[in-house]
Amino acid sequence: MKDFLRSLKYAHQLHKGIIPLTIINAIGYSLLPYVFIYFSGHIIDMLIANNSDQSIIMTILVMAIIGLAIGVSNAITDYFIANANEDIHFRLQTRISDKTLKLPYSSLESQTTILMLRKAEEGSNGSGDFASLISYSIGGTLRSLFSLVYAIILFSNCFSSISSSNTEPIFLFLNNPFSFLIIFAVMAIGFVITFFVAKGTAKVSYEFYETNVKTNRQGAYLVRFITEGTFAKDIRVYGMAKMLMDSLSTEDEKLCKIYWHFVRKYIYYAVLSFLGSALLLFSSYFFVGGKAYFDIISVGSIITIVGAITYFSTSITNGIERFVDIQTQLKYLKCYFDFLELPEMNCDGCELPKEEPVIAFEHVSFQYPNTDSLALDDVSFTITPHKKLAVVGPNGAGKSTLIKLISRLYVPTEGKITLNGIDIQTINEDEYQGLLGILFQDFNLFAFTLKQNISCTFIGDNKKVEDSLQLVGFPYQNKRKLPQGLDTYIGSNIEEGTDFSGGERQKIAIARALYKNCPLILLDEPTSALDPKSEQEVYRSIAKLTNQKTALYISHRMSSTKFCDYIIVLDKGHIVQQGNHKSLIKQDGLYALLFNEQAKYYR
Amino acid sequence: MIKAKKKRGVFSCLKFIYHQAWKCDKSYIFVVIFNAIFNVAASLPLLFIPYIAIRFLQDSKNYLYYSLWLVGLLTAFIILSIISIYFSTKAPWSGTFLRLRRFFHLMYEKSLTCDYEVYESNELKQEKEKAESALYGNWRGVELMFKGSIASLVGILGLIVYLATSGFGSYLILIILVVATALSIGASFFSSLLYQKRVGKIAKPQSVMEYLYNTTKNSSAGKDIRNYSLANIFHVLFVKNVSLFEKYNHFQNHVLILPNLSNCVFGFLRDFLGYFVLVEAVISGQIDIASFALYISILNGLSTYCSSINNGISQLLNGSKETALFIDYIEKPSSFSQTGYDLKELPNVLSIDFEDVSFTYPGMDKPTLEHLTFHIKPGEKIALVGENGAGKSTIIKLLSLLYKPTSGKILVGGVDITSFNSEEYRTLLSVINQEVNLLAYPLDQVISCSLYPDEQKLQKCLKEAGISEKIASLPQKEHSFISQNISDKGIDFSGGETQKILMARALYRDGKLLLLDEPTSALDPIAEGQIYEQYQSIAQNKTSIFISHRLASTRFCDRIIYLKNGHVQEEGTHESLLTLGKEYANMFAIQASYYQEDN
Repeated sequence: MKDFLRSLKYAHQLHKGIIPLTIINAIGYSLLPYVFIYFSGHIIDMLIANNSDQSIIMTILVMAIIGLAIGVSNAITDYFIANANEDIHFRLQTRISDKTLKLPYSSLESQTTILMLRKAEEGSNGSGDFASLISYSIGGTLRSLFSLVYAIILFSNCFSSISSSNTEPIFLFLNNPFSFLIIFAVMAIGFVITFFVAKGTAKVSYEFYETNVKTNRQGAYLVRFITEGTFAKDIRVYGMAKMLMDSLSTEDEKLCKIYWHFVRKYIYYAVLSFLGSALLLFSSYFFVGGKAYFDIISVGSIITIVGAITYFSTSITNGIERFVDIQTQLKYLKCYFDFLELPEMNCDGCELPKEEPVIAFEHVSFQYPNTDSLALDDVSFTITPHKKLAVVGPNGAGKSTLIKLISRLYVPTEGKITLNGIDIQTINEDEYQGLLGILFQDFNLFAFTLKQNISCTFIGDNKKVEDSLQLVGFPYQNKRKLPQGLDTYIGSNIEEGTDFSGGERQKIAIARALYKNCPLILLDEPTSALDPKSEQEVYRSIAKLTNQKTALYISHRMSSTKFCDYIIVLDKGHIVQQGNHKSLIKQDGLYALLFNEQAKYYR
Repeated sequence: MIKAKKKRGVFSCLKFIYHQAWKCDKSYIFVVIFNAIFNVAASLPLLFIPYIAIRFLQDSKNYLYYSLWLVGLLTAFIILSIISIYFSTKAPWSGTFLRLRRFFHLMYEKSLTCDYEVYESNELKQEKEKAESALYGNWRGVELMFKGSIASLVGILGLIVYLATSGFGSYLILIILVVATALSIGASFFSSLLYQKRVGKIAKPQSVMEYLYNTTKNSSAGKDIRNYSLANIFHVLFVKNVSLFEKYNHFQNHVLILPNLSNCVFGFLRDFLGYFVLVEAVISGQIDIASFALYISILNGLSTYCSSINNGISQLLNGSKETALFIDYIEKPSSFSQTGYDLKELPNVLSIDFEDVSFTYPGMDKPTLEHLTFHIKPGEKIALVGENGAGKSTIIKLLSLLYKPTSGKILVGGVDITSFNSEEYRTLLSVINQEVNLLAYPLDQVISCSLYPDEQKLQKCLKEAGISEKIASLPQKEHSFISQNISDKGIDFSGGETQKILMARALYRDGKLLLLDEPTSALDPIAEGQIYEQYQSIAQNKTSIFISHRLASTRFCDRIIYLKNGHVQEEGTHESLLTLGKEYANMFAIQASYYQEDN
């Protein structure tokens, strides 16, 4: 129930008109058939009673006009609802995106959050999205509720009785106004059957859905893997096509069996539900026919009443099915609501200290969620201002983790990281981020313009952008690469733009950090994709970037440590050595080993 | 690129999808046909009830006859309905199933075997994605066409049967009904055509929003977004594109009112005229009231079938748009030959020759490779070096037969590689690319690229790649899944371990040509050194090309080719190039300078 109310709340937030439109649409659609049912019977009675031609023709005209009016109203509401449905889809996406940007990073990377969204998205693809919940399922339920109202009005005719001298018991029974309640009793049986059927169907649907998701995990993964371009090279060069198709066939066989198992159940329930309504039809015709035989009601009324009963019972059946649909859809749609209600980053905090920023690790240990081992184990060091600190070590030593912790993507499991003595978790998020310029190992440039990417604002300062690009040696005056100058787009996801090479992208990323002009720069493997010449250029621009600033530098290339004032050597999460280059070489430990491994080829 | 393609029509699409349906599940067509037959048949008994009610309860009171007829009609109704329910429940599920089974298969197969350039060209990639969208959902593309054909068939059959049933009455009625229905259907067609004209403008804001949506969910992008406070730009762009989309979409949807409105108007005319004519017939004594009741039920039933046809047609038209794109995509031929030279005729150790090869990526105006010529002797180990963008990776792609040269020839073992069957040819290659992508399957399957790996061979490769200890230490050993995308017990390997796995895979493949593109970029110095040490034994009896920025790797190669701007700038051994003192020597000196002690 709570989820249902939540869905209404979000529907209204996303589109103010959708709920009123759905209601009006439901009123119209449920009314239309009754118009014809009522008038058909009435016209037959008029014919039997030999009413005047004009009055009959007038009646027909009235019927047709009412039908037209309701039909037009339905067409109009359908149009607005169709618009609203599509609008809602994209507005929901906007809300989700906005929310994603406000989530703490650990939440974003967590499997639970990812699965939440995926469940909602896959459910939407399979059984209807949020808009369909409102207009189709809830709308359908409303239609049957209004149908109830109209039917009650039409049934009022059934409670009539006539005065007569007939004393046959059957006549007396039929003449009793309340004998019509028998029909209601039969209807009630029908509804019980329908309800039982609907529950059964829902259970089947739910089992089906869950089984699908479970079996489908490998299938869904395969689908992404196959259709995404990132794996296309390997698939061809390693001839993996057959293996993947065979994998899919096995998935297929599983899917096949599941499907038919469930479809059989659906058919069974559909037939059961039908038998309930067939019983109703039978009894209505006999009963109402009897009443007409004794002239208690007119023959035309038979048409009207039976038509009304049939239509009423079908619409209640539909209503119950839609109601059950609501429950099914809410099961995965609520994941959207849960997602939108996840706790956001707490940006509050104290201001930055006014002095020179000094970052220190105090006995920091860290374990990634869902892992067994510590990525960092009791690590303590200080980043001295205006000095360049290099962090080296074998693969998996924990180097990139350091940057993730300093940038507050994650929180240390033990110990704390301080800024001038204050725990960084207590500092205002925005101000803190303003301190750091980071070049991640897997940095991203976005499909905005070059200027927007570098300035990180919508407009940006042209001169400042040009200066940054000049410092990194990026040819920003090259008309071929930048046909629209600084307003050229990167990639073509938003507008047609230029695709830059790996080296050029790295320079742009460094220019971005330069533009930000913050006191502390963190660099993670900035030259791994570059050739020696570009690497040299980048080292030069990094030197300019970090001139007078504090820098933390992570790299495999022991060559880079020569520029640094101080070096920390990590191995399996521990600091094993510290010092400057000369002293570490003298110590002849891990550092010397790593350095000589690389250097020996150049001597 | 201007392509004068004839647009594929609805019937062509229908033919294709039903042909595929027949191949996969022969019963489907019968389900569709029987669904229509029994749907219409089941509705017939009820039509006659008003007739018998009036006949036996008004004209001549005979409750017995009324009951007998009633029982007869209702029994027929129940039996026919149960059969109809079977088919009407089965039909949509079968349609979904066909989509998931047959059509997705076609799509996957195409994805796996289409020309590689689709993945590197934005234009082709978008074409592919648009084509594939025909399969994403129960109410789109292919499945929508199945649903539409079912609805249309039901409607058409119902129309024919009902018109025939009413046929022995007034011909006027027949004409009115047929004309009204035709007009209504015509309006549907017309509006669909109008709709198609307006479609297209929403594509752009829609794809921008997809990009923004997917990017914000991406955890890698999330890091930069947070550190550089880019949330605001995303928000502004989103809002801008949502309002653009809504504007274009509403404009597009204006057209959709048309079929509904026309349905109302023509329905109004049909009902009014129909009732009018029938009433006149009763008044003038042509038909009795009982028959009137019968015809009225037929009239009411007809409008349902008209709606069915209307819905069916619009579903067919809407579904055909995406389906046509899908079919075109599937039927696009590959530009690589499927039959070819027999591999067995090739020598054991192969030479590689590039003869005046030029290559421009599709859509680019400047060539990446220009009149490139070089020769690699059988069994030679070549280091391919050069600046970023010189064309090194492109050479690997051409050798992998992912692209064909724009001009010139590439020979392997003296044979032009484009004359081979592309799949067979590639068995000659063991490649390690720059991008690291591993399937989230069990390790042994990933390394062997088969569902049934050779145990012994596998262990040997693990050992040679230097990763057998690590694997042995895992709880499921070589059956461990890679990453947790499929199995929660999967292992997340570090960058270095992943590169070793890639090496093991290349080893297992045991191709005669070994092509390595930056295989050590993510490795620490110790692991890197191990790779170099192994390189000699790995590359024994193979011809190999080693691309790396770390010029240290050139020590292990017989010869170096220095590439600049798409052609060979310098060639020779390490010593000879150092002596030459030009580009290569310069590059080497830059890197070496970092490792000199006296700096």
